[in-house]
Formats: sequence, structure tokens, C-alpha cells
Amino acid sequence: MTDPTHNDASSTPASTSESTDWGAKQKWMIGVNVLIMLLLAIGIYAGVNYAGALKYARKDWTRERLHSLSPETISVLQNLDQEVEVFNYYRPMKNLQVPPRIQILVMQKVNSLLAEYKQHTDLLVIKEIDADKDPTEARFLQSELEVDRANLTVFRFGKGEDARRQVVKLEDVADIRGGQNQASLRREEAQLVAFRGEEQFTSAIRSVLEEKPTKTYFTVGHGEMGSDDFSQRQGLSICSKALRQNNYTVSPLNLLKEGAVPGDCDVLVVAAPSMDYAEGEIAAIKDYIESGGNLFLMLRELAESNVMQVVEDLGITAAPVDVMALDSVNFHSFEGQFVLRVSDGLSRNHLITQAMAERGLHVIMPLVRPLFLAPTEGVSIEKILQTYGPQSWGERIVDGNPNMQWDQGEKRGPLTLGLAVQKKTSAGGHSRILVFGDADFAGNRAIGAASNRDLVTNSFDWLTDKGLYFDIAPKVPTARLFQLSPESGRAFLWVWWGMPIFFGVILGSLVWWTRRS
Amino acid sequence: MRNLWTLTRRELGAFFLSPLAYVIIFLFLFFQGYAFKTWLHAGQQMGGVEGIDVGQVLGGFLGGGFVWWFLMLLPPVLTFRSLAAEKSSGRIEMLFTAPVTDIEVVLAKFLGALIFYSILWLSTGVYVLYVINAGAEPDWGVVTTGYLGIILFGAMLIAINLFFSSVTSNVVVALILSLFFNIGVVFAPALIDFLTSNAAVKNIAEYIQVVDHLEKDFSNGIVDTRHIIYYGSSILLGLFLTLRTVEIRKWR
Repeated sequence: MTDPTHNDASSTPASTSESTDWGAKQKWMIGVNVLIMLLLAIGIYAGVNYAGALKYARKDWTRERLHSLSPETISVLQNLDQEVEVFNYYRPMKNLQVPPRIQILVMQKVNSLLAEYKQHTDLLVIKEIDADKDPTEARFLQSELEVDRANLTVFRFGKGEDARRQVVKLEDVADIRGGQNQASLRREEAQLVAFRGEEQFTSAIRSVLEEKPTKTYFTVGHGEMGSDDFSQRQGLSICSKALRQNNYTVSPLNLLKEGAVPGDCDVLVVAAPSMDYAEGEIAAIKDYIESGGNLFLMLRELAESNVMQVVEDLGITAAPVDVMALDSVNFHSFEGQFVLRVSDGLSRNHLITQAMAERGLHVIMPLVRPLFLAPTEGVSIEKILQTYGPQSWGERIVDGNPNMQWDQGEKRGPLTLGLAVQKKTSAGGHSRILVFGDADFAGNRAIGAASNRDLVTNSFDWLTDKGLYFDIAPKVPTARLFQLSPESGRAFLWVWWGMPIFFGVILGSLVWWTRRS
Repeated sequence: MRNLWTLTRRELGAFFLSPLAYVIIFLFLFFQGYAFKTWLHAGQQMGGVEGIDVGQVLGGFLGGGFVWWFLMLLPPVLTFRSLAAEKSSGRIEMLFTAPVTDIEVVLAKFLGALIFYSILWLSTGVYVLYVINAGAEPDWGVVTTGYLGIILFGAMLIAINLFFSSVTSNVVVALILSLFFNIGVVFAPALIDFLTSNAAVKNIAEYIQVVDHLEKDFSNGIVDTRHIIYYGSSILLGLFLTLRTVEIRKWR
């Protein structure tokens, strides 16, 4: 008989052992369970983030949609069918006229913009060049891309010898006001007033995708402004650079020597000749126009030449070389020279000036010779640039000093300063001609002022029938400025000290007192 | 749900009844005021006679250098006692014997801290009102995304710091672990990005670079789904780990 109150000595160790076995097994199972759950959770976490990184969206909540791409850019990106490489090489430098603070700001904007571009296509391959991390690679790429400085973005299409590339520098994407290079009496803090990254990048992509470059020839030998002349007065080198960056080629043309305009010429540029052309040269230009060529003719004050003969048949004539368009309101002194500011006179009906006019932009032109027009059959002529109303008139300039008074007999405005001509050719095609009463607006001295550069590039794009991408407006954040009055300053002190004292000290003491009681 | 709300209110009440909360409120608001003053001064210097650019001031205030100190320090201070102190005092046993689930307890701790954190940050909206009163017109899109980024990032840190509070019963250890983690989250990605040349690692470092998220996107008016997913999934992972750690106690 077994005493129920007596523990079975033999059974106790067995039961303990069983319990221990079960406990260890249970702990092991729990451990495995926890591990599996942990791995599963981390796996899901990584998977969700990986999927999120592959397919994502960015929403721009700013009022002016500062970070959104234009439909033009999205269309260019979505129509890409081959890879375009983008080498982004930004590094704050000391030797640039732009302060490092602005360089960093522009770099951030460029990076952010490229990230937006990347969202719309996988065919844009962006490579960051980091000279600090990998100087060897940076040097190699610099030599391969043929760039000798930082703070630029290079777009490249194709490989090897046939690769087409386009360089977009910091100065091209950033409109900077003030700083060390500002010709100003007081030193201004440099400020980024507009970011043109999208306009430049889209143009660069479009440009490298073009199969053949557009050829421009600049006539020489008659005192014209030089396409590769770096001087302020006679130089068009900045204009040429802008053209080359847009996949144009720029070459000089000596008509007397060549006898005819080359067959591959897409635009013939005649920039401010001050000597007469030979009859044969005039005839060669006329033949070129008749065969469907495009002419960009720019005149200059006090530069006597018979070049207007090439457009005489179209009914276009220019005022004498010493007669300039003046305007009692929009005539200013700019860097020691009188310039005309043309804003209201930009045509809203022509592709070259339409977007500029709609945005209220302006161009500035040093002394401009007015143009006159007689209606001619078979020719479509548009006045794209005019002075504004009766406040302007044609004035004869004596000794370089304009008389700012309208006198009896002087022609009242509006005066025509720029004409765009489309002419049917006998072969059934058409030629395009642009005539401006001034050439200095495209010169080295003034091309960077106001919207002159856009007028120049739009002009070439219209002449060659390229799509005009000026619709991509620069990103100009509306500066929401406010002034801090002395009252506002005092109010700030109340807010700054009042908030912590009220919420921290008074409310805290109240709670402490309530709880204590 | 009712339990969750009751527990959350209890947590929030505990915050507001604690003297520590008022020290935090005082210091936070004082230094936020100082940060705003600094940005206002910088705006004055930059704008000169033309005036102060409100976008620059608010962009700096919601995404500039000062923000990171508040973002790194505030979540540990709000969470280090949450579970660690309950464990060390034994109150956690009482809590788990009450008719509430573990998930409700963890969520209530999280929500309590998050609501307190959000109230603190949203109270700085008084400075937005201040600039409006001074005649400025802020971009509300930028202000909204700025606060959204701050709250999302804070929620992520609170969830993960709560986990550190759950793994130990020592509040000091919980605080130190949280602080180290937060400093790592803020600075490590940029360091890794700088040191590595491996594309995959670089991509990951860029993806988790919270400083960029806030400085480049949220405080500039951009909402990127990648950041939302990163913060959202990190919050869930932090809460999941906390819950598992709490449940382990039952299995012992």
C-alpha cells in the first residue's frame, strides 16, 4: 500500500527531468520562433523599403511649384529612347567669382533637379564626380570629357569619337546678382536671383540627341564683329559659345575668297559690317537667300555699309547710320553707355519674342538704328521689336551725345528695331531672315544683360526651325520679403520669453501646486 | 480601442503631471526661440534693406542646423522612462495583469510620447504666426511639409527609442542607447556615403540619409514617398520589436 501523502522518491527525479526537458525544449522553440519572427520582420522591412525606392513619387507642395518640371522637359525625357550620360561635377572652388555659399546652393539645386529628371526616365544615367573621394577617377573623367574645371554638368550621348557632348556650367544655370564682379559702387552681397537649370539641361539633352550640328557662318572682311573675338566692343565670343553649347558650329566666312555661301550653311550671320560688300558678295548672299538659306543681319550705329542691299527687295530699309531710336522713359545709362530698354515693344505674335513678352521680360540694346518697311508681295514680315509709342522718336546723334528732346521733323515712335521675314523661294521652299537695327545686344558686353541672351538663342532657333524651349521658365522663387519694425522686434522678445515662461514655469508650478495639495 | 485611448490619456497625463515635462517644455521653447532669432537675424543680414525673406527664415527654422539637436535629444527624453522605469519599479506587472493587451500598452506608450512631441513642435507655429503678423506671406506648402518631416522623423525615433526602453530596466542605459542610436541615425549615413565608393552601399546610405530628407526635401516643400515609406516602416519595425521584447517577459 502506498501512502498517498508520501512522495514517491523514485518518481520525483524522473518528473523533474521531464519538466526540465520540456522547459528547455519550450525555450528553444520560443527562441527559434522569436528568431524567425525577427528575420521575417527585418525581411519585410527591407523589402518594403526596396520596393519603395524602386517606385516612388515626389510631390511639390511649394506655391510656385519650384521643384516641378515643365511639360516640355517631361516630354523630352519620356521620348528618350537611348541612354544619355550625365556627369555632374560640382565642388566649391575659391578661384571662381561666385562665393562658395552660392556654389553650394546651386549644387544642391542641380542635384535636386537631376533627381527630378531621373524620375521620368531610366535612360538618363547620372554619374557624380567626387574629386575628394576618388581623385583618380575625377582626373580621368576630366580628361575624357575635356573639361578643366569643376562646377559643371556634362551631357554625353554616344561613345568614343562619335560622342556628342554638351557642357552646362554653373554660370549658365545661375543668375547671380551682386558679388565681387558687380560693377557697382557699393559692394553687394551675392544673391542667386534665378535658377535656369531646367532650361539649360533640357536644351543640353535635346542638343546631344541631334544627329548633326547646325552650321552657322559669320561673314568677315568688312569690319564685322568677330565670332571668336573676346573684346567687349567687337566680340561675339560669348554668343558663339552659347551657340556651340546648343550644338551649333560657328565658322568664319570670307565671301570674297569663297565666292559663295557654303551649301551646308544653316544660318549666315552678318554682324555689324562697317565697310561695303563687293557686288559679287551681295549677289552671293542674295543667291543663298533665294535658295532657301537663312540670314541673320545685324546693323550698328555709325557703321556705313551697303549690306542692306541684300534685303532691299523685301522692302526693308534702315535709318541713316547716325539716326538712333530714343525713348524719353526707357533710355538709360548702363555701364557708361546709353541703352534702350525694350519691353512693351516685344511682339506677342512671334515665336522669338512671344514667351518673353508674356512674362514681361525686356532686352536692352545700345544705340539702335530704326528700320523701315514697305509692303512686298509674297513676303511675310513681322515686327518683333519696336519702341513704345509716342514717347520714342528717331534722333540724329551728334558727337555721341543724344539730345533727349523730340524736335520738330523727327520721326515719332513706335519705331521698328527688329524684323522677322519669311520668304517663299522659287523652288517652293522658304528662307528666313532676321534684321536688327543693332548688333551690340548680341555682343560680349551686353549679351548677359536682361534677356538679351534669350533673344539671341531664340533668334537662331527660329531661323533654323528648332523647337523653342524658352517656355521653360527659370525658377525664380518669389521672395516673400517683410520688414521687421521696432515694434515687431519688441513683440518677438515677448514671444520668445513669454512662451517658455508661461508654459514651462507658470503652468508647471500650477500643476506642481495642485498635485501637492 | 477604448483601452488604447484610456491608456494613451494616462500616458499623456503622466507627462503633463511630471515636473520633468515642464523643464523640457521650458528648455525646448527657449532654445527654439533662440534658433528662430538666429534665422531671423541671418535673414536680416542677407536681405539687407530689401527686407527679410520669410522662405529663408522658415526653411532654416524647420530644416536647418538647430533642428537636429532637438530631433536627436527630444525622443530619448520622452521615452527613456516609458518601459524601463515601469520595469524597475515593478509597475509593469500590474499593467500587464490589467485587462489590456500588450499591443495596447506599447501603442499607448508610443502615442503618448508622440502626441507630447507633436504638441511641443506645433507650439513653435507661434513663430509662423509672428512672421505673418510682421507682414510676411509664408508658403504654407513649405511650412506643412516642414512640420510633416519633423513629426515623421520624431515618430520614427520615438518608436525605436521605445524599443531601447523595453530591453532594459535601467533608465540610464535606455537613455544612453537611445542617444547613441539617434546620433548614429543622423550622422552615420552621411559618413558612410562619404567613405564608401561601393554603389550599392552608397545608394543605401543616400536612402537613409535623414539630414537630406529634411534639409533638401521636407523643408523645401517636397514630399517624397521614399521618405514616408522609410519612416513609416521604421516606426512599425520599432513598435514590433518593442512588442516582442515585452512579450518575451511572459515566456520566461
